[in-house]
This record gives sequence, structure tokens and C-alpha cells, in this order.
Amino acid sequence: MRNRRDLALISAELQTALKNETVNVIAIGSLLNEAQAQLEHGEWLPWLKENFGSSVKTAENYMAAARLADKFETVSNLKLRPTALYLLGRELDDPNSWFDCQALEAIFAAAKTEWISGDRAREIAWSLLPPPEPVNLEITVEEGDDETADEALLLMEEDNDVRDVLDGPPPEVPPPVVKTVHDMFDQAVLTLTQLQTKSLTSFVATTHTPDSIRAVSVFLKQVADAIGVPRKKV
Amino acid sequence: MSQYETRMTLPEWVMTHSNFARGLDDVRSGRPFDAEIHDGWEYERGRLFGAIAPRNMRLLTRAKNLNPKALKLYIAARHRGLIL
Repeated sequence: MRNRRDLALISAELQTALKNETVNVIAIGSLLNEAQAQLEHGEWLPWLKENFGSSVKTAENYMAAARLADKFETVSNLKLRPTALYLLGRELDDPNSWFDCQALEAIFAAAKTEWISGDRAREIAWSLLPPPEPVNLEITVEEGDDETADEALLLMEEDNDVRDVLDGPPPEVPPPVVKTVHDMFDQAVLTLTQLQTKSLTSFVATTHTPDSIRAVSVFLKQVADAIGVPRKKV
Repeated sequence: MSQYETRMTLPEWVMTHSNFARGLDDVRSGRPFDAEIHDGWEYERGRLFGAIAPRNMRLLTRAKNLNPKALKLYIAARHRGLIL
């Protein structure tokens, strides 16, 4: 039977790996921001394609995270998952954002003790909102009128603005992002790079067989050898 | 199997649910449907609203109140059967 490692040890290493992930996201975003500031209009996307590999959207997320960390120095010490960094960074860039100081303070306070994802950050911010108050839609139903509230609401459909939107073309929304094998490979290599610094004894209790690990190393070598080699024409 | 107990709801409640905002944000950011969300009705409604409302239409005003224009559009879309 394979030796099992102590869960507390695994937990400690997991915390370190997660923390490194946060630090790396901020570091990558910071480098991208630095590069973008030096490039002329029209040079950015080609540079990104050549040097970054992942999508523009991913780069923008990293850059937003770095801007957040620039503004709040303690961010890299908190338990903020990358999705939270992206969300808060984007909100910081948005002048109409409803994420105010109170929401940020609550999220940062929670992130001192628990890992906060983007969804959790949003939940915290929403929990601080006051309960909804009735909104005045400027619709009146005369007393004695048989119109029900529902019929009154139907009248609103005649509102020109609303009708224009409903009868017009749908808004342009980006197509759903599909995680490509490229993204998955990059993430896997990033994780392995972070794990390289650990003691080998940390990994001997793995559930993977030596043969499967050797097969992965052969695959990685083949990819490394293929980089920079011109593709054969089909 | 018995029918799940239904309850009355108001558009204001639906639109101020955090999952509604998340659904709206997911559609506008190009994120695929997240089937793991609990209490997914509001999430689905948020996604549907994102497929209808102009991208610059904010859900909340800067004073953190529900945007009346968004509410108006939501109610009208619901009456057209575009949002259930």
C-alpha cells in the first residue's frame, strides 16, 4: 500500500501553491501592463500573440488584477483567487461600478481568513446592498378602473425605449469562451513550473504510476522539441 | 412526485438577486452557462436579460438602486415571454 501523506502537510502545500498562483497572476499582469505602455497603437495585439499565448481576454484579466494590486498593496497577501482579482480589477476600471469602498473592505476582510473567488466576492458585495425599494415607473391606475396591475405593466411595453430594444437587434455579446487545449496546456505547465521547487518527497505518494508520469515527460519533451520548428504543409 | 412548492416573486427581487447579476455578467463576458449554480432560476433570468438588454444598460445605478430602465425592460420582456 502506498504511503499516505499527512493531510495537514498537503493543506499547507496547497495554501502555498494557491498563494503563488495569486502572486503569479499579479506579476504576469504587471509585466503585460508594462509592455503595453511601451508599445505604439497597433503593436499591442501582435506583441501579445507572440509573447503571451493565451487570449486577449485572459491578458486583460491579468492586467486588471495587476492594476488592482497596484492600488491596494495588500491584495497579494490576501486569499483572493484569480477570478476575484479579475472581477475586482474590472470593477475598479469601471467608473460606474457599484463596488464601493465598503464592498472592497468587506471582501478584503473576508479574504484574510478564507479563499475568495469571483462569485464569493460578488455575493459579499451584494449582501451589503440595501433591500430593494419599490421603483417608481410612473404608471398610475385610476381608482375604479378595472385595469389590473398586470395590465398596467403591459402598457409599459408601449414605452418607446423599451419597444426599440425589444424589437431591435440583440446586443452584441461575445461568444462563449471555450477553454482551448492551448489554455489547458499552459496552465498545466505553469502548475508544474511552480511545483519544481518542491522536494521530490512531496510527490512520491502520487496516485499516478511511474510509467504514466514518464509518458507525460516524453510528451512534454516532444512539445518542447516542436516549438520553433516550422509546421509541415499538409 | 409532488410539485415543488411555488412562491410569489417580484421583478425587483429577481433582479436584485446576486445570481441574476452573475448571469448577466457571464453573458456579457462571454462565459458559458454555469450548471453548478444553486438557485439557478435567477441566474438563467440574468443570462436571458443579458441577451436582450443593451450592453451599456447598468443593472444598478451609482446610488446602488435598481436601474428603473432595466426594470422596465425586464418586465416588458417577461410579458413578451422572452424571460420566464
